[in-house]
Amino acid sequence: MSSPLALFLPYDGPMSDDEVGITVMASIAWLITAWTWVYRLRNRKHVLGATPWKRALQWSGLQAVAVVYVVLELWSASDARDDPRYLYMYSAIGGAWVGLAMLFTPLLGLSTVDDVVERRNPAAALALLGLPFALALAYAGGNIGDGPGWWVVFFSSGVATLVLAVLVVASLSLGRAGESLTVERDVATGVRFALVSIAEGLVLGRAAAGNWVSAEATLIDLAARGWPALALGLVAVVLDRGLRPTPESPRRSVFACGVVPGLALLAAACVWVVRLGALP
Amino acid sequence: MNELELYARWAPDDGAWTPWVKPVLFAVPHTLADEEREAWRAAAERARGRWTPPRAGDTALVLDLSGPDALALAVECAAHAYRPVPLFNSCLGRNAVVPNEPLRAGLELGVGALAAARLHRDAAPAFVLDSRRSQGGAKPLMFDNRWRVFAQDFPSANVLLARSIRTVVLVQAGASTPSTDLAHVLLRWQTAGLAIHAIDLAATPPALVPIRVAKPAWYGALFQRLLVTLGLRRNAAGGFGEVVPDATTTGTGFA
Repeated sequence: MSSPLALFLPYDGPMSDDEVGITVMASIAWLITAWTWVYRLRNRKHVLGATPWKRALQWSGLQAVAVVYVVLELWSASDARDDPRYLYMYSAIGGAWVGLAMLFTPLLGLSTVDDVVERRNPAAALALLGLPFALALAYAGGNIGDGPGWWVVFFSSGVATLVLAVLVVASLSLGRAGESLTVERDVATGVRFALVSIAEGLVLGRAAAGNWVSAEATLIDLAARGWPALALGLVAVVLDRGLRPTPESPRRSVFACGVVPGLALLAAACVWVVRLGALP
Repeated sequence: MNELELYARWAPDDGAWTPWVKPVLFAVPHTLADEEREAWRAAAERARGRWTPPRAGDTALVLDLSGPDALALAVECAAHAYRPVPLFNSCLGRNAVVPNEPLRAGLELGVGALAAARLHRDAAPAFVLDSRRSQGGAKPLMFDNRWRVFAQDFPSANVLLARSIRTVVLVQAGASTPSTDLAHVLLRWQTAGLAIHAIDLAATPPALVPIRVAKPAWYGALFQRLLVTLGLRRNAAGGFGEVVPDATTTGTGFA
């Protein structure tokens, strides 16, 4: 690093033009998406007073970026983790990544405004709380290992995120978790959905980790190490259908139908990640 | 009676259907005008003896009538042990597309009859809607408070069945099939095993008939609600309602 200014001025030092461009664009996207997310929640006030979960949701994006930062600090390539500018660049990309992805949640039928604020639906709030962390893990994994530049992070993390999105959509539609969350307002489904999403993000993030060889090798690695995410997704769909509220039990036990199966799947994901061994 | 007290009368803390009562219309301070009292009295008069609901127990009502007529009939049904559940999700505003003042007045003026009914906390629900909710067109500077209902605005079929509701009666005037937005709700209920009946109060004589709810477009699609709300204007205090901007009088650019 040539001068202390290099800490703050990305153009003073070895950063290339495209890295500077990506840093600026990611920072802007992060700022806009974070502002949109927080503003939407702050601006909507329920006429009956404080909305439960609103504050937690407001901060969830920032906490998810903190997860990205910790992963970068611990396991990213040495040239990235030893240089604050690169740490910032990849964290900003992570912030924008999570922020942009969360803007699509209304397309999946989950809305902070409609469900959390207006209908005070705790099940939807819990589900929306889990998603930023799942996305952060899927993104952060692509940062682990050596590679030629930011575009390989985009590729690895992009594939992991895409698979995560498919699994989330499968749970919401095939498992009918979307109905359980927004119409039934079933808190057990909310807890389970959040924990399973995080478990899937963890497995996919770990599968995206590794030194860059080629796009083909990355896809093969993702399939070889990430297949448990598909298994988790399948189990989640089965659980979503099997543990749906019924006329006999319109409110499922949060502990038995939410916490226990959710933690069990998260533990299974942790076991798989540990079994894969040390990170590169 | 302030706004919160008024809301509490319609949505008591221990009421089985309280989570579904929409609070936005209660939240606006409103001074009753003489003509509003008169209009409510007329609506209550029209509702009296207009229709006698089935014996309360295993039946839920969905009253989809024009503005205060729906609310006045709901208050009448309260005398037959049905709990009115107002689902008006639209705000008051000047030059509004949907005039909500009569409804707001009705909420205040109907509270006496509601209290007199001494409803049990588990009384069967009578969901109250305004059939004018999506009618009319919005022009610049009008307060566009048109709204729609969604499956998320009603209890699920499981909740209804768990409370021993087996039949739903849709009450309309001048229509025999449910509106598109309501069809998304009723079809879910019908699929889960609830019997859906409809009655057209404008028919002579009105007859209660079982109906098969036709599948509406995008039924069950994850993005259906987003698709519908894209055409509506939200209010920061909840519900729907916002002034339509006028391109010639707003903006920050050069003239």
